[in-house]
Amino acid sequence: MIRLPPQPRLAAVGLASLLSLCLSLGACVNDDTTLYEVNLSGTIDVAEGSPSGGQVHVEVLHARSGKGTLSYPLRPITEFELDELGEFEESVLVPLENGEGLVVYAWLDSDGDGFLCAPGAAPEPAGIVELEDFPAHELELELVLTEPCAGAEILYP
Amino acid sequence: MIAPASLLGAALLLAEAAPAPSARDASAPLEATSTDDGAASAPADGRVARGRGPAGVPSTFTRSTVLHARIGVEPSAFEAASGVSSSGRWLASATAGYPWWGVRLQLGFRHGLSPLVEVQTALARRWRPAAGLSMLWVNLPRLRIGGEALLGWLFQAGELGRRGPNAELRVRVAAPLRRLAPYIMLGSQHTLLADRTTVIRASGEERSWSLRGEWTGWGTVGVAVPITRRVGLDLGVDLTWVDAPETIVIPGAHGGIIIGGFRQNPAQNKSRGKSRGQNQGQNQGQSRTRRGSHDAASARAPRAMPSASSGAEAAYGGRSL
Repeated sequence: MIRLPPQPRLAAVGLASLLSLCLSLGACVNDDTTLYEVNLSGTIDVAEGSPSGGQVHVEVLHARSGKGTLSYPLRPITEFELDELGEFEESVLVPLENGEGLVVYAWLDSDGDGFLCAPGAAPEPAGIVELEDFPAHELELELVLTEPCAGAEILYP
Repeated sequence: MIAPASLLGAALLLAEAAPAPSARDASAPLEATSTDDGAASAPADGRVARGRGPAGVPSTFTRSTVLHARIGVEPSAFEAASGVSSSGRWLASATAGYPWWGVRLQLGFRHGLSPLVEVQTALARRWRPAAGLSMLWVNLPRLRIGGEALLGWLFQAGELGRRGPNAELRVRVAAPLRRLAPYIMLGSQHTLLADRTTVIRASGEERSWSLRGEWTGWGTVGVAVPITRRVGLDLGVDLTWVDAPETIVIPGAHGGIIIGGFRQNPAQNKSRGKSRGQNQGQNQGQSRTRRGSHDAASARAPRAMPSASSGAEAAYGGRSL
């Protein structure tokens, strides 16, 4: 067994104590993110008479985020595109720490320019739905895009 | 925030007001009594002679004794500026300012090495306790360059909470003058941050870990001001870039106190390997010397310098500044 003289031994004990204190106080986890997997399925359609061709841009958002007076609606989570209107199925990961509730907003890119109602372009329909059953791993929705040129902030709540 | 110019101005005033803390002051009686041929008569201050007898050092001063006496005890503040304590000495410092506060304790060992522990905090929200080793690389009469390596743990509270193992490398350049020791310290601090991600699926939970780094650049320009041989002040301006390059540099300033002393009586080092009886005799002599004033303790230092006349201690054991 190694015998240390008193002063180095004292220093070794001090360092070990310091390290133990550090580890016990803070551990080592920084960002602890919890993602909740949700399989979204259902249909997205437009009202009769509206253009029906083109990609569908879908955004998944938290209904509310923040606390107290700093609370605000519609914190984005993720977005994806569908090739056409109709039935769809998509899996998304929802970070539970960032907000509450789940909202799906979609708009139809009928002219294919990638912009919702660019100046001089034809009106494009949009719509929003809040999924009241969240949190649940399987959620179904039926969304009809009825509002021309409307952003999510206008449609919610 | 305290203006840096005011801090430096105060330091200069203190330095002028304080007695010259160099080792020559301690050995002044010896120099005054030396003769041309190198021999010296008995010093005016009898305390010096009393301290020497039991240790076996000649009570009559020789040229060698006088030369040794010229190598005195360096002020602790100068050692703090270079970050390295000479063998057998300890150093404690505490600094306060905006935003950085800290305490540091180091011990001087042979070969220019000094183990150290320190705790650093920014406004009590970011803490970094660490232990490390400092080493003197360049030791010239008016220039010292040293390096430090520290390992510690970072805790940061609040919205940007962080915790993880931390390592820091520092380079110190000090220029000890007669009454001041201006210094520059550059540091590179790295923290390893571990993140945990948990995915809750219908089939169960999956957990994964990922690592990222945080780099903090550090620069300090300061001055160490000895008040006495054991006590000094540290004043400086800090530029820190926490979590660079994502953030901005936050300037700051600090003031601190430095306290130093002997970890063990230098004569004990010299007596190693000698018989127990000799050691006892030395210790008795030391205890007599300890009853003397601070100057007497300083005058005792030359007895330690035979060990300073060889090896690393000769290079950094107590060169008079």
